[in-house]
Amino acid sequence: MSNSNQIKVKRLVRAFQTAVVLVCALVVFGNGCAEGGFYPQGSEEIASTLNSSCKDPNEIEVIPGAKTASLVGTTNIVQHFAACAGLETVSQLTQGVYEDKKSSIGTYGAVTSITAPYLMAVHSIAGEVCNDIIDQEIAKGTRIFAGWNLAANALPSDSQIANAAINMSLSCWQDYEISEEETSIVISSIVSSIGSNEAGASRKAAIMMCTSMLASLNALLN
Amino acid sequence: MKMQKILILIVFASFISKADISDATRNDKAVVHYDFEDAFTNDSANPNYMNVEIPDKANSKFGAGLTLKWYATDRSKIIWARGVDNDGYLWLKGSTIVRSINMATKINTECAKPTTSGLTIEAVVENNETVEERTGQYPADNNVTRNLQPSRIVSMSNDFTNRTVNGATQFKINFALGQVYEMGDRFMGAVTSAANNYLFTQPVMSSNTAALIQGLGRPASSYKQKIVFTVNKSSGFATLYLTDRNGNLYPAVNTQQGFSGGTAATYFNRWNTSAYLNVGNDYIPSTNILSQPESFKNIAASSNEANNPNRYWKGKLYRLAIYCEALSEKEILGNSYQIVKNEVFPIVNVARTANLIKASEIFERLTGTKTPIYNPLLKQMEDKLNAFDPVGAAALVTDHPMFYNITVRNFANKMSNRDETIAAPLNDFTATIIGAVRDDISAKDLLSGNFFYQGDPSKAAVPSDDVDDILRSNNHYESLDRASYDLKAVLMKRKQIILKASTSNGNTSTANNNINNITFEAVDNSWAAGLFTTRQWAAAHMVAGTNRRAVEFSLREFTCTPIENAADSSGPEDVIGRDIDRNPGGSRAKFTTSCRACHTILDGFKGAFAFMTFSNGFLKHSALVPNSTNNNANEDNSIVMRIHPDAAGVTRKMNHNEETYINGRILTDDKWVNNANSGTNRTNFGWTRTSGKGPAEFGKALAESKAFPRCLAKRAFFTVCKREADSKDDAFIKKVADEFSSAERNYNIKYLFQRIVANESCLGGK
Repeated sequence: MSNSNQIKVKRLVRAFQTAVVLVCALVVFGNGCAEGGFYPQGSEEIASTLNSSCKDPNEIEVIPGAKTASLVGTTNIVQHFAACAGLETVSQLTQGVYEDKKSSIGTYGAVTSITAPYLMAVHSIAGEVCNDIIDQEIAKGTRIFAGWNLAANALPSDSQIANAAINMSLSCWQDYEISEEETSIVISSIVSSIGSNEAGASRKAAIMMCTSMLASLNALLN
Repeated sequence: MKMQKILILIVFASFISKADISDATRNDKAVVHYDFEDAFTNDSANPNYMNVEIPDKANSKFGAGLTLKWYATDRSKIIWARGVDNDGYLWLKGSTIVRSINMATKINTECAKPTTSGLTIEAVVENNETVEERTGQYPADNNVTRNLQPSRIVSMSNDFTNRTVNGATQFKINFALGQVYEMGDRFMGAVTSAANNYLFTQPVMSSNTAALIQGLGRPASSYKQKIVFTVNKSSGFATLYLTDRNGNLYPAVNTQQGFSGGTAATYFNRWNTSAYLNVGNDYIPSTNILSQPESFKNIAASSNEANNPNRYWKGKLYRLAIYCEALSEKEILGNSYQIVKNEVFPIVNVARTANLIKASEIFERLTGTKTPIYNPLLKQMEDKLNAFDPVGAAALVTDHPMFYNITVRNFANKMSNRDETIAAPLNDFTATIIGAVRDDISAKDLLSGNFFYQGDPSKAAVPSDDVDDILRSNNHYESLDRASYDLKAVLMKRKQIILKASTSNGNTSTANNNINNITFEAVDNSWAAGLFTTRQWAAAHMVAGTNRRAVEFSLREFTCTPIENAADSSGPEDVIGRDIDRNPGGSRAKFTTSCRACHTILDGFKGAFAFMTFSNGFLKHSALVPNSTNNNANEDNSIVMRIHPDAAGVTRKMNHNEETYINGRILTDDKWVNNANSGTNRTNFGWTRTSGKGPAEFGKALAESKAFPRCLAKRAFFTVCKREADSKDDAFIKKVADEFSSAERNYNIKYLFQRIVANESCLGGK
């Protein structure tokens, strides 16, 4: 091989090496994943197909024109729940539970931060927010739980449960309309878990429904 | 003219409402109330005795007044007088007792009602006792460990002496508020739900039939301290409110110990019904009053002191009120309680159009919270979006409290600390950015202006003393944080202040941290440089080290340029300090390629911070603290700033390790030179200044650079778009940065958020 060809080959190899390094650097640092892997909405499939040695399976490329999905993070989860459900002020008890659990919640709300401790923490906090909402509705009149007697030792009617689920959906799921199937799941899970004349049945049903809906991913999106 | 100004100031000051229980609430809800406004008279028959009867001024709906009476004979131990503000007070000067003539039946009757929510004790006191730790327990038990016993400001109890420790116990104490004269003046409140219960004898309550709470006040000094102790029966929450030196009441500490063994309705039913209300002591027979020990410090078990039931409190008492309900925070803090309150909307079904959904997404990203789809604001935003005005739609949200409390706070907090995390406590750096965004202050001024933001004490019930809570600690901001105050509503702009510290004995040695010799004073900061002279910036970047970190993070936070990206191995060497080895590992080449590239920039700029350091919890400027050339001076535990003998006023750490390379540069003033201004750096930064003096000029250099608006645009993008801007977003970031820095927008950060959030590269779509 002539000297000039050797130089060309060397240049090509060097260019290729540089390109590989650049691509890796771009993938690792260039898509914002340094902060913890945010996913564009609807790009879950892309994440699963990432198999380059340069790429972390938790990281994805930014898709132009796509919104990056994210969840509520540790600094705002309580206000996030309270605002959508219409809780005027958060109780000290809820604040205390948040302080206990906040270390399990991702700082920036990256989708990749969903873990078992995260979900447990979210449920604990959502449960306390729901407790506050119920106290507020007892004190100021029902709103989400319209028509419920929240102090009753009896379950509300199926239609009352369904209406409350719709109210929660409108409040905290926003663009998601609750389907008949989802409504029946809510009703049957409440009826099968709480005795119809159990002590505090109404409040228990309200907490169960509110917590499960508030801690769902639809409500956690931010 | 001067007098006129002073008068205006006095009139203005009198209108500033501080957190307090209102007269209306007190008149309506206090079961007993003593304001100590009625003068006492000497007993004409006995000049050593005074007719001390203090009327109860509570509302007559609670029954006949519970008059207090002085039950002791040593006239020197009690005085009534008026203070400089004309407030009457009772001054208890030693072992004595003032107690209700009759049993406190009206308190028992009222508090025992099943409908009452709890108990609140309100007291205004002044205590000038010298620092002294008080331990001991009455009666003496055989326990070697002496339990902490607070001196009683007020208690409701019966004969303190007539009881046993083991076996059948008759403690006969229902509640008490006390003080321990140790460093920091600790106040303790306790209430029981059972007649036979330990109260303070088990400070860490093993039994939950009582709620005990304690909170630190301020070091003993002659200012009025308001104390409010409140316990809620149903929730079990107890809160102790205290005031700072300026009289600002704030929730100092809370706990949830709760009660057990029954229901909330019955808890105070079990109180001892034959108890008295006692002031300045617990209930003790008069014979014991005069046999008091002079000190309760480290008393021995079974000693006379241990066997004396006295727990007398010394100090001035301006007000005392007892309420048979747990007053709410709003009732206790009045108008100074502007916390975040969510709006509650009627639930209605709305047509979910694409633009309504987009409006809700903009709302979420700008406030960090989810809002119901039926929030009427979303409809207004939808109208703007329908009119192709996305910035206008976003502008409707940048007025929302959560935009400031969550989004701007996260944007700012990330720049405020070394870890670059948003999960850091609120601080003066972050509050200043939040305030500036609210007030549409140009972002350029953030790096050089003479202002900062704090909570307005008339709107936020938090400790707000300039010295204790803002300059020497982060108390003020952390308290705003904890209580979820509405930062948009409560932040107020002020000229920057800085701590001046001096010693009365002129001692600048290492052991001069004795607070008795030191005067701290908050003074105007003549060297103010916006965020660079906030306590938080100094705590993060000027603590220890060489202040190079302050330069490194200035470039990192405000131009988004890590030092390794700016490194320039061709930069001049003559600016580099004496602590940098020119032949590391014997290799000059290593210095040239590795060390010099960064140090030419860092050391060129570092003069900006020459006169400042952060140690012993506060930002020190060499002109305002004692300087010491002593090599062994301990800055961390004193008010001293160490300086080099060859460089007056310059913090020593910037000239230390001179033996490493003796021919290196010694920093003698706060001049700086910009060595990041050649090659690609010139284009990337786009500087307008190449040299300057002090941190404010350094801040102006950064703020005038082309990199500054681009960097802020990237930071805003990350905050609301939930990802870093990447190369595909470069054109958009540049466009937004150009608009942001235009004369029309004048570096308005609010606009930056509005412009970015509604863009397709952030929320998707076209």
